Amino acid sequence: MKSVEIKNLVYSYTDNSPVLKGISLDIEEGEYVSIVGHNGCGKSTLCKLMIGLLIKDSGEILINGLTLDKDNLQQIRKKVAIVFQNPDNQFIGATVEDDIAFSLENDNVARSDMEILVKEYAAKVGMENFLTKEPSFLSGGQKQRVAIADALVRKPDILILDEATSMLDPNGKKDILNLIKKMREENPKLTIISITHDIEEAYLSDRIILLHEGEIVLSCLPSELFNNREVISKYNLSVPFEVLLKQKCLELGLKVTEKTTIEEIGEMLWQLK
Amino acid sequence: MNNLTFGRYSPFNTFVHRLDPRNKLFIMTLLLVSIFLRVDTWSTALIFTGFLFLFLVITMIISKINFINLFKSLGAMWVMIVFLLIIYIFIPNPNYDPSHIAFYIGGYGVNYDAFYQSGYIIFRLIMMIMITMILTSTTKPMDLTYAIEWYLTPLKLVKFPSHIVAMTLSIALRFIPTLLDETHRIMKAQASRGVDFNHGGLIKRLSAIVSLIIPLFVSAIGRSEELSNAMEARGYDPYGKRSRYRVLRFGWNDLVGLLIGLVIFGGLLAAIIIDKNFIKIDLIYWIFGVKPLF
Repeated sequence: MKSVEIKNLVYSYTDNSPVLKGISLDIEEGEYVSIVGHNGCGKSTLCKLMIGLLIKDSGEILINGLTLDKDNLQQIRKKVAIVFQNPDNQFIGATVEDDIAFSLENDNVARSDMEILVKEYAAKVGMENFLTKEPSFLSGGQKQRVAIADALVRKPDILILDEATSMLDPNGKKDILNLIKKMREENPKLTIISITHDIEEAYLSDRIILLHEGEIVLSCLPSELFNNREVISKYNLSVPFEVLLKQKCLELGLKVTEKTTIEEIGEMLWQLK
Repeated sequence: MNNLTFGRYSPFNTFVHRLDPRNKLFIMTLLLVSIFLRVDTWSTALIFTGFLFLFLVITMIISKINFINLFKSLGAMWVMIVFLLIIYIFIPNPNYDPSHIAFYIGGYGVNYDAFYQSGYIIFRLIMMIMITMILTSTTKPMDLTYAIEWYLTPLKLVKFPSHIVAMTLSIALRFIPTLLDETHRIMKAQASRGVDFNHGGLIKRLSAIVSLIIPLFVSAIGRSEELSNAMEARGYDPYGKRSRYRVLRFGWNDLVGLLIGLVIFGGLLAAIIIDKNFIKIDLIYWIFGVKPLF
């Protein structure tokens, strides 16, 4: 089943220069898709359109087969959750529990259910010991974990991460990536759309979509993209460590394939003379 | 800007902390009004004020408030105290008893009553500060917002959006530390560019402040945009039906607190009414048999 269908989507902030110039794209249920591209290529605009924060100029967006328009906005927002870039600017409640409860209050969930759900989802993101803490006592990574709990507590079908790790330190980033992995194991039906600058993070996804000046240039497996030297040099992308390592190994004449893990390469390397 | 110790919430679990914030707000209002009720007979006024003061001191001890914080906030009041003294001493008041002259300044008789009056006012101001301190250091700001929202609920009848006001208030409170951090960051950034916030004349300092305020506003507006996006994406609809996570409870201790507040307020009110209309209540004369000096 298709989670997201986008047909010929056009959007412009000002009259003369469209940010998105007719994007068409399908995302399957349970897929983990990364959208990469340079600043101003329209990545964030695309996800704001998907959740109805911006209204498209033309084209069509279907979420789970339902066309996004003004009338079913609230219905669609229940299915699509988003985590933004800045951990501070999406923390609405006074404490962690209030913040998670904010999403539930909006959905008019009964209080007795709220108490259980807040604890359950705080535990899911490993914040169960911080329920009464205020945001100023939390690190960026912790706040972002709370933001993910806020998003998941509404049980969405689609989770959009709008550069959710870009303002975090390496540890915070690692936490979030592990969390994404855990979430996919727990709920294989959850579709994840991650907008990112981080090439290592994009490499973990099922599919990469490369946006350039409001158009989709490429939509393929991560390994395909990063082994395509022509595209890499044309769009000035950096290459993840694993891909670089494998390329060097191939040059050395080692038998490395797509499926070889870093550990296996390590085994091969120390045996070299 | 760093000095925000006055009345900051301190997380203890005392009798006063456990009171329902709505009830606490009401009791504190009662006490505030009691302080500024005026008993005409000065000896009785003295006893009542002393009683209230003692009551507040005990409440402060119960709620584990550090008295140093109180003295710190009084430090800023000395300008006001001097101002009040000057006003009361040098502005002639026909109510003063002309026989109570303490001393003369260049032929102008300074009345004892002037000292008494200004002392009385200052004492009441101090008690006012104590009450606000008790309220804010034992109540989380967010709980106060809930209390205010509850008191505004009747206004819903005239379509006043009390829940929106409460949401706005709580978000403002939530962002105070964030914006303070931002202010410090901008100050450092501007100082590293050569802006001097601490020296120079008024005009120079004002222009330095402008270089702080404009970036702060720009960033706050940017934040508010992102915040509203985040709220909308999480399904916030101010006019939709929302449930509540926080529930305020009116318990036994609230009843006790409310009774104490009502007794103090009622007792004072009764004393004033009797004093004004029936007989002069002169506690010192009744107890000690001593006629006061004046």
